[in-house]
Amino acid sequence: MKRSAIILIIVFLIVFQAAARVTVSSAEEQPAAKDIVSKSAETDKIPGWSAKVVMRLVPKGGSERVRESLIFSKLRPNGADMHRLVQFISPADISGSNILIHEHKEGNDDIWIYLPSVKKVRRLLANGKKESFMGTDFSYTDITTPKVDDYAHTLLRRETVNDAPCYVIESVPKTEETRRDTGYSKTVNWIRTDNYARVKSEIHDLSGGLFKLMQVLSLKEVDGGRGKWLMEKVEMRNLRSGHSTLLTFTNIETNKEINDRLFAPGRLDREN
Amino acid sequence: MRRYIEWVIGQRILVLTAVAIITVVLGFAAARVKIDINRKTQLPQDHPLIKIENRISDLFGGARITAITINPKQGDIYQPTLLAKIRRITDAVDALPGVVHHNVLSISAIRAKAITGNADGMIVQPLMQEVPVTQADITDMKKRISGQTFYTPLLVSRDGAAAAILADFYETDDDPMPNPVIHRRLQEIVDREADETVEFHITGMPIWLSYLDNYARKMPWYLLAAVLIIGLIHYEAFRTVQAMLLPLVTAVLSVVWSLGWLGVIGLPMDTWNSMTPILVLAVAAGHAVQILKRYYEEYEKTGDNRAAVVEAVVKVGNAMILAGIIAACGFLSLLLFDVRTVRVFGLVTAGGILSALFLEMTFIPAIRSMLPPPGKRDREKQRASFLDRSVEWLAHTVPARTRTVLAAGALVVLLSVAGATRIVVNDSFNAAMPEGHPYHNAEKVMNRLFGGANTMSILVDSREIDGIKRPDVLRAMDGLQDFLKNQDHVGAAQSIADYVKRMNQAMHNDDPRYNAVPDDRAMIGQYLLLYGFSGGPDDFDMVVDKDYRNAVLRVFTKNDDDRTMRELFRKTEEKAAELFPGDVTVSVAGGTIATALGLSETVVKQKIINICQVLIIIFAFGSLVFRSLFAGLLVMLPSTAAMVVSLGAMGILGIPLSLGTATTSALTVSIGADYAVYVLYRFREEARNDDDIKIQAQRVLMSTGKAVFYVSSAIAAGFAILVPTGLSYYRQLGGLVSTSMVLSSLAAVTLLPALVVRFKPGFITQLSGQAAGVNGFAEKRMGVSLAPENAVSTTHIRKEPEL
Repeated sequence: MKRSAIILIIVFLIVFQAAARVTVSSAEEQPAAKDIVSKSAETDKIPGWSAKVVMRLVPKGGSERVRESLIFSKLRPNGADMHRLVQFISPADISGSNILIHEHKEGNDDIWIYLPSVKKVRRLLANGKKESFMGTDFSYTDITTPKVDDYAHTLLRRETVNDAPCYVIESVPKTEETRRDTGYSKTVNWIRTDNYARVKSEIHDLSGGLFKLMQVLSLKEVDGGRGKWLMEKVEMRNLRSGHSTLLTFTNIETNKEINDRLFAPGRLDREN
Repeated sequence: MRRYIEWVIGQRILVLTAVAIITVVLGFAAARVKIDINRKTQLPQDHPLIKIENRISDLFGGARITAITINPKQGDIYQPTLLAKIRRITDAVDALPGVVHHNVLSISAIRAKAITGNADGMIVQPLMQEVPVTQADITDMKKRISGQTFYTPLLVSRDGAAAAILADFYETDDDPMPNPVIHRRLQEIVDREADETVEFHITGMPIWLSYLDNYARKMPWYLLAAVLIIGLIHYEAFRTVQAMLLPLVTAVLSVVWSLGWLGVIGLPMDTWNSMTPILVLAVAAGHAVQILKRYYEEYEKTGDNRAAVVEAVVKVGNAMILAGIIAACGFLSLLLFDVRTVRVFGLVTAGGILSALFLEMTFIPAIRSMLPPPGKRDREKQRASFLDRSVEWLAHTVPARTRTVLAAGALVVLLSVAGATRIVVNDSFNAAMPEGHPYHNAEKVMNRLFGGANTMSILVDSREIDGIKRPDVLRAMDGLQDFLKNQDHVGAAQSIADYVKRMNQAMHNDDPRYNAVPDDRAMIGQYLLLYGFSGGPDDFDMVVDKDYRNAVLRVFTKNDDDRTMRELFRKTEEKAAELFPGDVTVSVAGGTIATALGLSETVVKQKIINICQVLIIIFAFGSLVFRSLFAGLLVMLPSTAAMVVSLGAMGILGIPLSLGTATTSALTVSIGADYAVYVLYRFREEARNDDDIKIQAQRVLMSTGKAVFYVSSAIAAGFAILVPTGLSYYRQLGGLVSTSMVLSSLAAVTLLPALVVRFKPGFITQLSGQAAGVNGFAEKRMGVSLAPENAVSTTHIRKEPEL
């Protein structure tokens, strides 16, 4: 009798503890979804870095097109916006073309382009976040850091991607305006539990259908162990057209002092 | 033959059971025959134009472009409610399965961008980012659209009174969107937006094929009507229910069997072949009538049902087998064709004819031996037939007036030859639909307000990556485009050169003087890069490939008439040769026009080859069986004469040789030979009974001639039901087959006996006096006097001196 009572108490304690854990974890994880996304947004906020980028545009059943460029990126003092410069190396017809992007947390980004044939710096109007970025399968929304507060985040589950445990978080635009701006009805992101780097995204179009699939094929820790990670290889696949874009970053250099003058529109034509 | 048929009658239960089992098995197989509506498998893949079209559609899509037009009943399209409709329709179309997204184009489509410029450079924005609400928004949007020459009149009519939404669908083997489904889905989308303020039309090749499919689906009803008509004609001829029903049973079973074989082989039926069962029905009924007629003759002689069944098959069987084999070989020779639909046609028809032969040699004798013979009253009724009276008149006139008959025949043939020289090869898919048909209305709207309902695509292969960015290539494309826009029937043209020119203008502060292809290749590359910052990766996929190696010049025309388009192709080729550098390959052309042209050219050309093939087969078989080259020529005569007269009539009446009409000629040649075979066989038989060739001719006409008349009337009437169907292919096929049947039967009962009487060919005359038995003469006389058709005595024939 006594023995049975002990067993019963042990069983009760185990069940109670497990139940308590479930309750606590769900109570903790629900609000944590936003934190996870916020932490993830911080992973690539590096003060300054540069790399060589090989951009492969792969049409369905067609031959790929390769563009090579150098990219320089510098975080603004507000800690949110980036200044980026892309210098094209190849193919020959666009070699020497430079693109300068000034991100703005609020409002549209500023884009300038220098085309050597025209020999003038031109201002380019960004027409919305849903447009393609440089003719690739990435849109401006995809390449810029998402504004965490614009979305309602829900932790759906945990899942392993390429042996790395991940949080699976669904982010739904809070307003119709964000929906329209991005062209997406929701995004499901796989964010690694260890370093908060985003490794996979399923992007749904406005009709709710799965539209694009982003997969980070290789990540590199940078900035001396301060929890900063950059993608080395990332693929975006348009599931409707079958077209995909593969970006490969090599010669990644961080902690490098990048002169602000590099990002001055007026000097864009001198960088070549 | 006699022993065989007696065996069949003896084992009739076994025979009937076997036929029933085969029918059930083949019936199930027939029910499983798939209807193939894949356009690609029906096209001649070796035709140069089809090859170009295939290459273009592989690179850029565009094989199945459809257009939805939207016209407000009041005002222009620049009204918020209307623009919202365009947005919803575009989004719904873009979400359809199998749609080629980069070829979904409308003023609301994400890839339809306005390229403008200011002092700072180029601005690329969607024509309609959001549905405009305020007047200011609408004014801005109008300005954006009017600044882009390439969207007017492609997507918006010149007066702004209508808009078009273009969509294209992939063409795959496991097609998720067959043409009727495309049509239905687009119609559903349009119906959701339909109200009293707007009018919608849907056009394009998939829609046309969907309507064609609709016609094809009505074919079972036409088949039923044909059965009824053929039955009625047979009743008119024989005045017995049995005579009305039995040939129809053979005919219907032949149709089931032929379709069953198709199912067993695993070939699909297609829209173009939907009329084939009517042909099988008519031919099978034709052979059945020959045996039936002979059965009545024999029954009149002997009054013994079983003996009459045996005699009928013994005497007509060989002729039927020969005629059937000739026709089947003729149709089987269609297997040499490039176009699958024609091969299927040959196979189904040959299968049907062979099935009919088999049934007439097994099922019909077996069942007839079990049925009660025709009563006296039935036999008497036969004498009142109108057809009988016509043939009786011919039986007296033709042998007596051979010179007149042949002279008249020669005159008609000569006139026809003269008429046939004026015949033109031409086709128009659009014109195939009847006036007032929704497709015509849609096409008229496309032609009146937009570039046109038909496409012509010109492939430019620069043979190097980025070659399309060469200024000389782009300038040549631009020049060719300008040339085409100034041609009659061309409504719009579009190419990558349009966009490059517009970019150049934008980069020069939107100064229209710079609406030209820049001189610097690198500059063109950089413009495109610049565009890429705001444009989508697939914005230009409709006109240039990702490598910028191949580009397509899309031309929209308001006409799809073969002759006009052939001329346009020729001029375009000449101009292209003049404009493009030598290292660039320009292929003229793909598109709906080229597809139609390729199909009709191949079918018409191959049909002509096929007619020659069939004629050679007829001549060879005829010569071989009768052991006389002259006999070979005689077998060819009725069908050749009918064909020449038909072609002559087409030349005189201005009916072009097209997909529909060319098919007819091959049909008539094959069927017409049957008549000659039956007539010549009967001549040989009669030659054994009587030395006088004129009497032989008279008897032939009164017996086999009548049956020929019955058969041709049945076939003519069977096909005539296609005339009121509305679709020009069916109308032409129906009208021409009916006419040709009447003509070839007329030739078989006038020219053929007249020639035999006149030339007394050895393969007939050498049999004279070979009749069996001492009392042959008396038997022969008796045979004549007993036969119902000999109500007019031979003594009435006025003998003419031999010439």
